[in-house]
Amino acid sequence: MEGIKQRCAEIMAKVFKIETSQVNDETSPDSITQWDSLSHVQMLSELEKSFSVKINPEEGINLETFKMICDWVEDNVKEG
Amino acid sequence: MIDEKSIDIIINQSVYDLKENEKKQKLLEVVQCVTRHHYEQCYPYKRLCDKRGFNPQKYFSFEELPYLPTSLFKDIQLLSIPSDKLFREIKSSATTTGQPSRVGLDKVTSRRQSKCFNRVVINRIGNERRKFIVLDKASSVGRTEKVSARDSTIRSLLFCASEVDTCLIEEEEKLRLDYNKLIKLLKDAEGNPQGVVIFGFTFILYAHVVKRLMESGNKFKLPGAKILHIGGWKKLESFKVSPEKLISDCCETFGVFNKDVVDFYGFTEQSGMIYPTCEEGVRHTPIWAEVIVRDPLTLKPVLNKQKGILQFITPIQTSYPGHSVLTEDIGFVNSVDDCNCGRKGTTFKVVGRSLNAEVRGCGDIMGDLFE
Repeated sequence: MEGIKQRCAEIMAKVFKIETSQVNDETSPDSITQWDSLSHVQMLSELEKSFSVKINPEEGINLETFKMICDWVEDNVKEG
Repeated sequence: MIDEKSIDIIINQSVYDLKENEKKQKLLEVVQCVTRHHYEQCYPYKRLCDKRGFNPQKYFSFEELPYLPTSLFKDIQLLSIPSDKLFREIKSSATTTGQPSRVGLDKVTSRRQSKCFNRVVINRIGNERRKFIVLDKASSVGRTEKVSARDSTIRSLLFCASEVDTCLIEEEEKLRLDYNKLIKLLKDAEGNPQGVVIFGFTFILYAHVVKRLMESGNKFKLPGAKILHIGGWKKLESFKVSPEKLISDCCETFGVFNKDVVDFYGFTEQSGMIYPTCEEGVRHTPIWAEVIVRDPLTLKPVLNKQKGILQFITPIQTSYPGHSVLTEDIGFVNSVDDCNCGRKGTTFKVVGRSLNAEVRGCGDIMGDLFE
């Protein structure tokens, strides 16, 4: 899980142009000004590329905090 | 206290699967409950009900439920929550009278509206993220301090996007189509096996994109693409373009099928409620809404197929009494539960605006901004 968290934090840092140290479990659109509907789309695409997964619209709208994102990746990424 | 769970139950059900006899009682019970909530929490609404001799504690039908005309939302902000619970305010595009409608949302209503909106959109265009070509300016999709109703509509659709490109440029408060960029985006889209989504306000889509592409003889092959549009038709009157012509011109220009051109209908006073045309070209009420058509003169309900003013009922707004709204739009109920697309529910068509209605709708207002 720590590896997933680190990679998710790096993706968020890259997309939202922030430091990984600014990312914590509660990080959400309410705490990151740059997290808008467009950057959310970019973040989902980066997550898809990085973890070789598909995130459908229904899943994407529920990924509202860093913790939710990490948990979703943990549940949906096949190890190996 | 309102029973939030009863609303959640209804909005979590299959969007269009219940037949009228199964849906009606379920929806009516929730609407009755929400009506009592607004009666108790919103004094102006209570006064209106009292004045009309309406007692929400007694059993009532959809037809008996008082309706609020959209003009009322321009005059005052009606709230059924304490003002410190206000989370967002949505304003309609400023109309020719200069007075926008305003509705106040708390977090619960806002989330509920998004959920209903998203479920309807996914049902129509599929649960798959696709590349979006937005016929608007770049700032309409990014974070800005002020969010217009138009920007808000565009952003609310981006949950279905995997990538977003825009192709309008704003110069000195005027909008201009970046034609070369549009051509490049459409050429690139021809090689996209997933099929892109082209989204724009109706007037821009037709007058500044489809018409221009047709005049220049540019045609594309985009099978699997979806053409989504929303907004008023009034600005298109000078082009004498009917919904049928818009669809056929889109099909010819973009190489898509009729069923892939989707016209969204919605209005600020019941934001979150969206009625896309189905594959058969009609609109369906989801399980959490009903439509009633009223005679423009007597305001009495009319029979199916007869034209009149459209009234919409839904229990999803608990922060303001927007649960029964009389629009200024004219339409008719087409049928119930028998659409060939397979969705159940009342189907209806919107055919125009009532005669004394002003030009409104994001698409209409947007036309004024074009060079």
